[in-house]
Amino acid sequence: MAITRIKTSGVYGSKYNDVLAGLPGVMPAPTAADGGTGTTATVSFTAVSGATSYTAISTPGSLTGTAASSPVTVSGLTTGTAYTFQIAATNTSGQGAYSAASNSVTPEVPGAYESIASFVGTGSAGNITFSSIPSTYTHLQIRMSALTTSSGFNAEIRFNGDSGTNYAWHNIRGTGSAVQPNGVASVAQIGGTWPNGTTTTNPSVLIMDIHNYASTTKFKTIRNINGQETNSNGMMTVGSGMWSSTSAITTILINMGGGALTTTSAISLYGIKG
Amino acid sequence: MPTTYTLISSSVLSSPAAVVSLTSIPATYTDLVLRASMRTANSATSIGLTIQYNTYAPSFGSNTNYSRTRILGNGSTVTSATMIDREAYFAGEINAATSTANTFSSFEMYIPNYADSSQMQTARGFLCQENNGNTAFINATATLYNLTTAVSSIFVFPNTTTDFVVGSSFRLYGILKS
Repeated sequence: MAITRIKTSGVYGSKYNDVLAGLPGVMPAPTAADGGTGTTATVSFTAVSGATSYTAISTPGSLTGTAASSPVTVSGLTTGTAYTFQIAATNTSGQGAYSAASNSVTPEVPGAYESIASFVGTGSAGNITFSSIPSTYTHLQIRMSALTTSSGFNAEIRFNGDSGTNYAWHNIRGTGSAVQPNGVASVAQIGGTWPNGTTTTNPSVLIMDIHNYASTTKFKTIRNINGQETNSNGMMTVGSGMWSSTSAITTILINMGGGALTTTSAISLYGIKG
Repeated sequence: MPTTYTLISSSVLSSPAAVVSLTSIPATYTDLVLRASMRTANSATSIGLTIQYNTYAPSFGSNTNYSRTRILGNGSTVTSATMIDREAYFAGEINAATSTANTFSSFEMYIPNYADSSQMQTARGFLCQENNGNTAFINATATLYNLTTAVSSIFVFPNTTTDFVVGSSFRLYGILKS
C-alpha cells in the first residue's frame, strides 16, 4: 500500500505526517462524558468525510466502542476510575490513526434519590399542592420541617383531588407519658399523622414514604414518622395510611386546615428510582 | 462526586415466589436500605414477614442468631414484645390472600454499617399493613444479628410456607458515605 506524505502548517511551522494512502487522517481530540451508568462513557467528535465508522479507545484498559456517527459509547469501564479516550475513523481502506486524548472522565453510578419539588412557607394561610408528579420514579418521599404562625393546625393529605371517603389511616402516638393507638377508615383524607403546629421556634418534622405510587394495580399504602418537640412536651408518631385507589398518584394535596407556614418552613417532595 | 443513594438490586415479581434473594451485595457502601411492597398468597388476612442474612434456612433449624423488639399498633391497641435468639428477624404482619384486593404492605429496613465485621449487625424496620378497614398493623422494630459478620445476602420470605404474589417488589439501595 502506498504511503502519502501530508504537509500541515501550524503556529510552530510546518510538519509532515506519513499516512497510508486512502486511510482517514488523524482526527481532533474528542470530548468524553460520563455515560451515567457507572460503567460507560460517551465519546463525542466531529465527523470526517468518507468515514464509515468511528472507534474510541480508553486509557487505561484499551476498551473500545464503535459507532457509525458521534457519539461512541464505550462500555465495561470501572466505576470511580478516571479515563481518557482517543478516536479514530475508519473508511473503506481501513482504520486511521488514533487522535490525541480527550478530557478525563470518571464513570459514576447514578443516584436514585432526586428532588422533584419543594414548597417554602410564605406566612400566609393556604394549602400546598404538588402537581404533575412524573411517573418515572418508583417511590415518593415527602420531607417536612414546619412551623406555623398560629397554633393548632392539623394537616391532612389527599391524592389526585379525590375528596371521597376512600382513605384510612392508623398510628401509634407517644406523648412522653402515654402511648396511644389511633385509626379510622372510610374517611376523606389521611390525617392524624401530622404533628400540630406550634408558635415556638421548634419546627415539627415528618418523613412520609409512598411506595409504588405510579402503580395502576395497587392501592397506595403510605408510611410516616413524625415528631414535635416544644421543649416542654413532645409527640412522636409512627403511622400508616391508605388510599383505596389503583390510580397512579399525580397530585398530592396537603390541606393545612387554615394554618399558615412560616417562611422558615419547607415541605419537599423527592423521587426514588429503582 | 460519589452518589449517596444508589440502587443495588431490584426484583419485581412476574411470577409467585416463596423467597426473594438479594445476594452478592457489594461491601462498598456504608448503609443499606431495603424497600418492599408485598402481599402473600396464604389464605389469611395477614402473615408474618421474615428476613435472614447470608444463609437461607426456611426450615428454621439451629440458627438462633436473631433478636427483635417491636412496637405494634393495630388502631385500637399498642403492644411491645421481644424475641431473643431466634432463627430469623420477624418484621411483622403483611397482607395475605383474604386481605382487601389490591392491598400491599409497605416496608423499609435500614441496616447501618452492614459491611463492618467488627460489630454485630443492628437494623431497624418499619412495616405497615393497611387493609382498607379499621384494623391495620404498624410494626416499628429493632433487630440484632448477633454475629460479627458482614451482610452479603438478604433473604426475604413469609414465615409460613406460601408465596409472595405477582407485583410484589423488593428494592435494595446502598448509601455511600461521602
